[in-house]
Amino acid sequence: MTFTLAHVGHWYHVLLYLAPILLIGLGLWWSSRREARREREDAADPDQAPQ
Amino acid sequence: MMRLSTPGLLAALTALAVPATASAHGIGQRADLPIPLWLFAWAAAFVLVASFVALSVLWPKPVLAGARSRLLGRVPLVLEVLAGALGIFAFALIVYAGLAGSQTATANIAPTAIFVLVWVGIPFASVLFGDVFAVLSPWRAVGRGVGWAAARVGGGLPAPINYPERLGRWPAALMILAFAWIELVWSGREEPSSLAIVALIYAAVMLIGMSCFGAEKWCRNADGFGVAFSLFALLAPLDWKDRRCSLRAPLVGALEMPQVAGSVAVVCVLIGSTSFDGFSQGTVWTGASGMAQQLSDLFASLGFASGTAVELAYTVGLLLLVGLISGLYGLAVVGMNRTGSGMPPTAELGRSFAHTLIPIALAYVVAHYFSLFVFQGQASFFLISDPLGNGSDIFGTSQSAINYSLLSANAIWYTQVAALVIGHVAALVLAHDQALTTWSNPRVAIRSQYWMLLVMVAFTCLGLWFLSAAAS
Repeated sequence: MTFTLAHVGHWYHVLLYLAPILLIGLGLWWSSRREARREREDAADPDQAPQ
Repeated sequence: MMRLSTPGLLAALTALAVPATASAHGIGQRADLPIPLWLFAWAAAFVLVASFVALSVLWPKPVLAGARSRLLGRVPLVLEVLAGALGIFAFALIVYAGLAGSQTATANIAPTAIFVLVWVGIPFASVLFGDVFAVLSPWRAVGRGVGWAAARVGGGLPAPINYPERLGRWPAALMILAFAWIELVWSGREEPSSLAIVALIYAAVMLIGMSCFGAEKWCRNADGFGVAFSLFALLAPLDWKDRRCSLRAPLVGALEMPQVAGSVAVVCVLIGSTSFDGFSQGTVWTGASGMAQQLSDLFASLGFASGTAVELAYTVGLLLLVGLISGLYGLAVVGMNRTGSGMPPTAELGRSFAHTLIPIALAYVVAHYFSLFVFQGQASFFLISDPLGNGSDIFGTSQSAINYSLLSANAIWYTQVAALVIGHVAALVLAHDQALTTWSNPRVAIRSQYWMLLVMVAFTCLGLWFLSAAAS
């Protein structure tokens, strides 16, 4: 760990390029979960389903 | 151990050859940008997400498959014959110059012709004017010529062996990988005579394959150059078929990419090898304790000579990057396949979306080789007058020089970023349209593309990281 941290100056910039991927991945995961839940609710209560 | 890719080496050698201009302009100059390089990755990711949202709202039905093309005219046969003869002459010149000319890479036309004019110039020409290599290809010209002569002499040629369908475009993928290895790994790439011998091996493979399986079938599936250039040509507004020239809408041609075995491998090798070219110039690879050094040390400790150990390290790097790109695309396909029930098998789904990678492959070529083409491409003006590097001046241009002030470092950087962003947005458009064709429910289609969006963002950030690493 000491070795890795000692060279943090060499690789921290990789995290800056990785961050948008992680953020968007998180957003898409949350969005797909929300949509799946909505579809399950629509299936359970067809009267409330959007036409 | 610091190593330069062949284009980088050529550029550096050219810079050494013309020190006054090189040190003042262009190559070697650092971009002076108003914001940090990593912020471009954030901006590009935002553009991709915004494009995805816009497509979801404004593009509810597939439209690309129904787009029509307009016939512009017919191409005379004589033009095709002349272009084929030019291709044969150019190939013969490259081989002859490589074998008989100066063995200094920058003085001989062979390295510049192979690595700059053919490998970078033809993709640029293809995306503007269509499949120019199909008419310039020496192999197709030889095939047409032999077929014509055999028909005149009597009986025609014997029927070729059936090409195994399961092979598909795998031979082309392997050929592109082999070329990438020569370009980025092989120590003999700087010697014109070595390149000429490789070109002769390529000719032998093509001629033997064409004799066995037929010219058209072999060229369409196994000629790595022909297959790669034909993919870039699918993005062109001009479509050349059966000596007819048609005008088509942008991106429509990509749908014509054959969904055969190995088609995904071809684009993944194209993107992966270009990625490695960028990655291998960054400090993560070349640093004092970088991956290249560590891998070289590992192979040296196994008993390999130092030169071989370096080549093995670079081979591992090249394969890792091709594997990474293939893995990312595989992740997108597996993710799509999990979106809903009744999906086609993963391999089939992967092939049906493979055309979406073509704009990305082109974007990577532009981003990594645009400046090389602009600068080193100018060398062709003096090399064409003195192709062997023996002091001749055939066209009176042997004294011309490379103008390094043609583009500033900032202009190069902005072109690279623009290419990456436009390429990935185009890929998103193609994927969105294909998803609407694959899934009848638009909501499911859009959800399926969450994975593709994530992979496109990953490709973009990866590409910008490689560029920034090479620029720093």
